[in-house]
Parts: sequence; structure tokens; C-alpha cells
Amino acid sequence: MKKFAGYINLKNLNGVLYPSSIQNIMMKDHIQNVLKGIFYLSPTELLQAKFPITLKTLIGKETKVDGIVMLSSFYLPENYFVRKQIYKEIAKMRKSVHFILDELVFRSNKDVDKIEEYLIFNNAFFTNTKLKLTKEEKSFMKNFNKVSFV
Amino acid sequence: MNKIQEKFEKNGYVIVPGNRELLNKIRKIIFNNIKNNKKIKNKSDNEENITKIFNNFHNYISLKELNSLRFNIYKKINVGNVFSEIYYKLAKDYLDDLVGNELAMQKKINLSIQMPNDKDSLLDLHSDIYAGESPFQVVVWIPLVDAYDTKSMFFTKPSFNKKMNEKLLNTDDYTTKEMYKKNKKNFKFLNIKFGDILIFSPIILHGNTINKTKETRFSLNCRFKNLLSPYDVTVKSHRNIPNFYRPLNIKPMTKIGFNYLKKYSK
Repeated sequence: MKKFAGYINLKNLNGVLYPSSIQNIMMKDHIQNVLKGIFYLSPTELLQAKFPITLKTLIGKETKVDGIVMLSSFYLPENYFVRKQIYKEIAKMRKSVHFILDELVFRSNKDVDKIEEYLIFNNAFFTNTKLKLTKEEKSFMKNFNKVSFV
Repeated sequence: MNKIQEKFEKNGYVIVPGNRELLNKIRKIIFNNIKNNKKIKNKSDNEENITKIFNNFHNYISLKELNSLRFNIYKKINVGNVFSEIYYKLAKDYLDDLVGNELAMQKKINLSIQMPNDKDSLLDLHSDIYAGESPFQVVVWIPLVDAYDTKSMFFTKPSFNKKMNEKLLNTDDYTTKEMYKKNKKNFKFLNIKFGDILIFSPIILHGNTINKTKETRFSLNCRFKNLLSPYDVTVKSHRNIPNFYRPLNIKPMTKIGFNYLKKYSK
């Protein structure tokens, strides 16, 4: 049976802060029931650190696991160059990374585009809360005032 | 504007024909998950038998067992993309008309099983928007048996919704149940035959009551919205990517444009 480590990150995930206990439950369930593997451990990323040291530790050869599980690719480092380095190291260590909510898996360098494509949705265009219409939107919507249910 | 678009803007919903072959396919998947029940003697998966078993499901299972069974099926249909792909295919042409073809699809398809006289499977009068869902979304609601009277769901007209929405959001005197009872005449139960699909705006108030018919309702529901329309509207919720929706049909120019933005936005 393959062994997987969970990776807890306490950053807010598009507005949702998943407590570590919930992340643990979700990752354990995914490892045991979807990946049919052994849940090894789940350390938490250092909130204050400049670089993802916990993630790097899990990827490194000292951590004897076949793969890493986290809630989403949105937990990967925001900086593209730091991310690129992470992809490179995972591929080198022949480990996999499973993103539960995104339903994506990183297994080798050929998966980089797939993950990067998904990270489009971490753009402010998708994550910002729409609080009101802009002037231009208001003016455009004047033509459709009657099409409303509220 | 075509007929479907006109009807939707006027009524807040449309009832449209679905592809029978695909509908039978999803019914069979559900049926395969229940046919091991010892009380079900005829395990044939022909259309007639499935209809009979679903309609009479209350004779095979107790109310106590219902939710765990429902949850079990819910978990199974939501593993992988097979079920969701059929679901999308069923509604695709209508979604193209009403929402667009570059979409976000709810990650989990819901299954409802409403047995006669079950007081525990009720969804009181509500609008999905009250729970932080996007007003840009539609619900694709698929009955797996004929839905009528209290075996179906109630819905109101857009004109009444405007009044009722204001009342609901400002009342301190009534519960939602009381509000429904007081205004019952303005809500009608939608009559939807197996074979048809209901697509509605969940801005419009809807819900269900105790199923007083002699048959059980099996139905599925799933939300779709335009990929590029706002997710969190007026409040931040979890009804977004990756928490609630998955992107579907991302077009090349969306990828190209956002990757440009990724590189040059400050």
C-alpha cells in the first residue's frame, strides 16, 4: 500500500478558511477511500515563512512517502518561479501531489500545464466578491431592467 | 431570442424534453445501486420496472434507512466524471441558450428521494441565493419519475417573487413555513413527466411540502453558471471554484487571456 502525507495550509481558499481539523478529516478520507493508501502525517505550512518550507520537507527525500495530498492547488506558492521549482522537485523525487477539491493530480512534468491552467481560477476576477455594479455595467443594464426576478 | 429564452425570462423556468436514452442511462446507474435490496424481487432494469420500483420505493425501505442509502448513492454517482458528463449532455443544448457554453458546473450532483408522508425531507420555501449562491446560476432539475402535486416542488411567478422576496427579507413576524401557508395560492406545484427536464432560476422562491401522494419521488439537481460570470455576489461564500464549482469547457481564448493577465497584472 502506498503512503501519503497530508499538507495543511491555513491560507484562506477562495474565501473559505478550512480549519486544520477539517483539512485532516478530508485528507484522511481521500487517502483511505479514494487513493486506498495509508495516511502518514499532515504537517502545517509555516504561516510566517517566506518560502513553503513544510511542503518542501514533504517533497524531500527525508520524508518517505509516495505522495502528498492537499485541499487545492490554490495552496501552492503564489510566486510562479517558486512553484516551478516545486514542480521540478516533485517530479525529481517521483512523488505525486493530489489536489482534492480541484480533482487534479500532479505526477510528472507533463502535468504542469494542467495545474497552471487551473490556477487561472485563483485570479481576482474569479475570487473577488461582486459587491456592486460599475457605472458602465449599470448603464448597460438599463436596457434590460425588465428582465429581473427581484 | 428563441422560445426557450423567452419562456425562461417570463416564467423563471422552462420544462423541456430530455434525451430519453441518456435519462434511462442515469436511472439505471441509480437503480443498480438499490436493486440489491432483498425486498426488490424484480431486478430487471427495463424502463417500466425502474419506474415501478422508484415510485413504490417506500415499500422497500424505511424512513430511518432512507438518508444513509441516499447519501451512499450520492457518494457513488459523484465519483469520477461519468455521471456528471451524462448530466451535462442532457442539458447542454438548453444551457447553451440560457447560460452559455463555457460553464462552471456544481461539483456534486444532488439526489432527492421524497417518500410519501416523510416529514424529514423537506426544503421549506427558499431562494438559493439566500445561501450565498450566485444569481447567475440555473438549476437543472431532473425527475426520474413523474413529478406532480406534492410529489413535485412548488414555484412562484417572477412578479410575485419580487413582492415575496422583499417580505421575506424584512419580516420579523413570520417563519418561512407561515409565509408559505399565507401565500399558498401564489405557488404552484410543477407538473414534470419523466423524460422532461426542469431548468429554473433559483432566485425564484421554491420548495416542497410533505409528499401527500402515494408515490415516491426520485429526482436529481445540479447547478450551472457561465464560467466568467460572478461567483460571490454581495457576500463571500464557498459557492465558487474550487469549493463548489468545477470549470467546464474552458475555451482557448479564456486560457490565453488570463495567462496574459497573470503575466502582466500588477
